[in-house]
Amino acid sequence: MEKGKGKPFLEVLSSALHEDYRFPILEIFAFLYVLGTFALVNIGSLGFALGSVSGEAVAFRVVTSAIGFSLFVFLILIFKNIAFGLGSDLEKGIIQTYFSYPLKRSRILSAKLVSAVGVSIALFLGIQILALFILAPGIVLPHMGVVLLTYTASLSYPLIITGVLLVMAMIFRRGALTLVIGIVLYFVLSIVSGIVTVISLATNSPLPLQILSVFSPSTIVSQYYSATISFFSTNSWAPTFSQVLLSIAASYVIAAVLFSLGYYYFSRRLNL
Amino acid sequence: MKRQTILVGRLGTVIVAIGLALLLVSLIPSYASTTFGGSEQVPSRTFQSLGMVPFGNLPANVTFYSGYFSILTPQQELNVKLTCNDSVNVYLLKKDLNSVFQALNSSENSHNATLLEGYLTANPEAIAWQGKLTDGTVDYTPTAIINATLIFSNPTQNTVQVQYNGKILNLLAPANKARTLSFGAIPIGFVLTLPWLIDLRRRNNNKSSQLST
Repeated sequence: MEKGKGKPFLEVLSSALHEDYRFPILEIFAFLYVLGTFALVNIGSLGFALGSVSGEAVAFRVVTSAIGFSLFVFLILIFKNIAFGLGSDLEKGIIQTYFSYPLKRSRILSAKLVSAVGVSIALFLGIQILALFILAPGIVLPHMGVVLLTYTASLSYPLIITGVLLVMAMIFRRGALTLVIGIVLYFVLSIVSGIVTVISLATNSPLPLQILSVFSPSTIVSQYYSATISFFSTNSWAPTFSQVLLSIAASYVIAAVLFSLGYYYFSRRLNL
Repeated sequence: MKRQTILVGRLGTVIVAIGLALLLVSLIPSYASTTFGGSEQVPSRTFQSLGMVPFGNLPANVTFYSGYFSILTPQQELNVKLTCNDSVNVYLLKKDLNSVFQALNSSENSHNATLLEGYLTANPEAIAWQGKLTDGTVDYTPTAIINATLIFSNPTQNTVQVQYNGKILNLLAPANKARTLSFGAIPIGFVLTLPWLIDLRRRNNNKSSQLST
């Protein structure tokens, strides 16, 4: 970083943090993350009793059980910060005041994203890992690779939604409108994902699930570990580890493209 | 207000919030999913596992069937009160009984305490909890999903009568761990928050004094 350029960036970041996390928003979300993780995690013994389940599959199921509610809370925070927050900043002209700083537009957007998404991810992951270490260190520690893979896969879908919200916020420039459209989009995508799963089961074809895995790789990760538990396996699709990695990479590429589109729009096309 | 003071202050409030949530989690009561009770005779130089009742023929009052298999998860706590007429070695093993017999190269009818003690000395990782008890409580929450088997080993010359009353408690999280962490986190968070709160109070006082003048 060139000398003197860091300070305006920090000024914008500090202002964005102040806007996104007014007291006690961050504290409420931290409280909800902890409470939600512990209240809803369920390390059921079903299936483990048979003694045929690998340690990796157990670790995967414990992590997914812990993620469930927290990921929803994480999405609420993202909706608040990106759809409503950024949309409102554009609507009220707060973004225009940032343009008075000696900073490139892309760096202003970076500061906003570090605040809106970076802090949310740090809080989410920090509390999740803490919860897992309190709850089941004997399961988590020997399988850190599975834990990291599960989190990487689980976070890509919310990041794709974040990318879509980012682009939408810039197009509509209305906080409330972007928030409503974002919520509708999220539910539509959830319904589509459910329908795709049913089609896959009904036709006994893995193709719909493979397509879904590109956008939501937790599907393929779940299938990969479920295949090791024959009792729970729903169909004949047993993906390989390289397919799992490929799906995760593809979904992050989609998220990166959406974010790049957001940067491009913010830097070149946003007529402010 | 200095940016660092705000940053550290807000970090403190987040830590306090996490600590309070952990405290709340630790206060949520557990409930017993399984209770069991009965007595075992442990002849001289032998070992007995708790609940040696064939699976499928369990009497109504004996539901902890560790003799064959019993799974404990990190969200469960095994709590067994024991009363014996002489001291016995109590082991909670992370293995089902069949695996123990296989490891000892022994049949299910041969309960040789010397063999067991030798095996456990060579394989301490198989032990989840151990103690020499006359009257006492076995209290254990695993950190992973384990096959739990409670074993009484009697290396003495006399037969020992063991009476037991136990339960498996279902919990959200290990209460002691969560409480200890919360008791550590809340004061640390509060200390980090203090400079920010003092600064806020000073600014509010300055504001009100400016308004009054």
